[in-house]
Amino acid sequence: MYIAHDKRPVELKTLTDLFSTRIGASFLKSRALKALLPELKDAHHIGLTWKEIWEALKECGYVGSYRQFAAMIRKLALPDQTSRRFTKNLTPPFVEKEKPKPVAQIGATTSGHKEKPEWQIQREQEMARLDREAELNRQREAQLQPKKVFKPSVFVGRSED
Amino acid sequence: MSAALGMKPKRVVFPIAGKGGVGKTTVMATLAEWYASTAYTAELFDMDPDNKAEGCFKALFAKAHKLPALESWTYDRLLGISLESSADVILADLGAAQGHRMIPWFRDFYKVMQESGLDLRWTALGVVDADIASARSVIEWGSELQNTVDYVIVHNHFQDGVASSWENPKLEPDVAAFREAFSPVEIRMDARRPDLQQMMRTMNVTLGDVGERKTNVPQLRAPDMTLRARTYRFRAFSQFTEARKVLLP
Repeated sequence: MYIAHDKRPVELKTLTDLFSTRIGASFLKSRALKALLPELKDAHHIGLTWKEIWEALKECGYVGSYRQFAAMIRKLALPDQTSRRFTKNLTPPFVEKEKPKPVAQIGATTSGHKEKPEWQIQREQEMARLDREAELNRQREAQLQPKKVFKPSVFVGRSED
Repeated sequence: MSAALGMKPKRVVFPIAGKGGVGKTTVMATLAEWYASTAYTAELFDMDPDNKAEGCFKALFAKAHKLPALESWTYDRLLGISLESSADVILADLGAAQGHRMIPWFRDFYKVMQESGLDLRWTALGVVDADIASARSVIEWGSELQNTVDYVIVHNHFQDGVASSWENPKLEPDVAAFREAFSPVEIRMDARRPDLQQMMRTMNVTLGDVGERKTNVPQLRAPDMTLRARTYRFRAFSQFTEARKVLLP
């Protein structure tokens, strides 16, 4: 699905802008992608498919085919998910539900403590997952804030007299 | 008593903006989708006293129960469903009835629910946009409900350069007092394209339907609409996750 320039989300714009500034290194496909890994992940994270991201990069001068791009992303960005099939259509963000894992009951090993009901264990697990998710979201937001690389000197206006 | 009945605590979430058109139902529908993405289950109630055919909770979610507010019989029906249901959350979309009618009704409703023996925690969603009337309405509800509920202030239609009415200097003393008394969680929703919102209401489709291209409406299957819906939903979900402590039981 091609996305027009003016309809691109901020994450994709950031990625293509950064890529454009490093166009000289675009022939070093793997290195160029590695350098842009956080931005690639951000764009992917908001629900863009890898194909949409590749199309946008290609427009900015990326020379690799989608096959190569996909293989590199799999290697760079998803090292822990190598077993997962690489698909162009993504699952919506944060919709997968974790399977309930048996958790050690704090204090339950000693006698005198009642076991927690099933729903409470499930709620605690889900709350812990949401805590992790909130932390990731905060990190992602922080990454989107522009880094101060340009600090102009304070402008001193001309005096009236 | 709830322990004796073997009940787990539940959270009742409802909007408190008397002003219409601030996006209460949109926020509630997105919230319903967020609950569906977690391990928590929500029972949905369309309690808008205006019997709308489009854009209401019932039209968006077929499984929602239609129980119009401002009627006394709705207490018993809602209570009965809540007692039978194993859902963790009761999500009640109250609609935009005038505050002077809705607040007394809600006070009775709250009393009946609290006396039922259910272990309930309450969260009021104060939806505010750029119109000062929306913020005044939330303050009015706050002065009536006091600290019987937790508060989430939703700055809806957030845009750079357009201040939320919650930040309006005219309301500064009231808002400061509200913040001090209730320590509300404040979240913001990004601006959404008006044409997308309008079409979603008319066609009775959710953000999830548009984002996952499950709708048959050609305009809503356009790439820019799909992308916008996905982005909006993702950001809204992030904000709800930030407010999880008062949105979950």
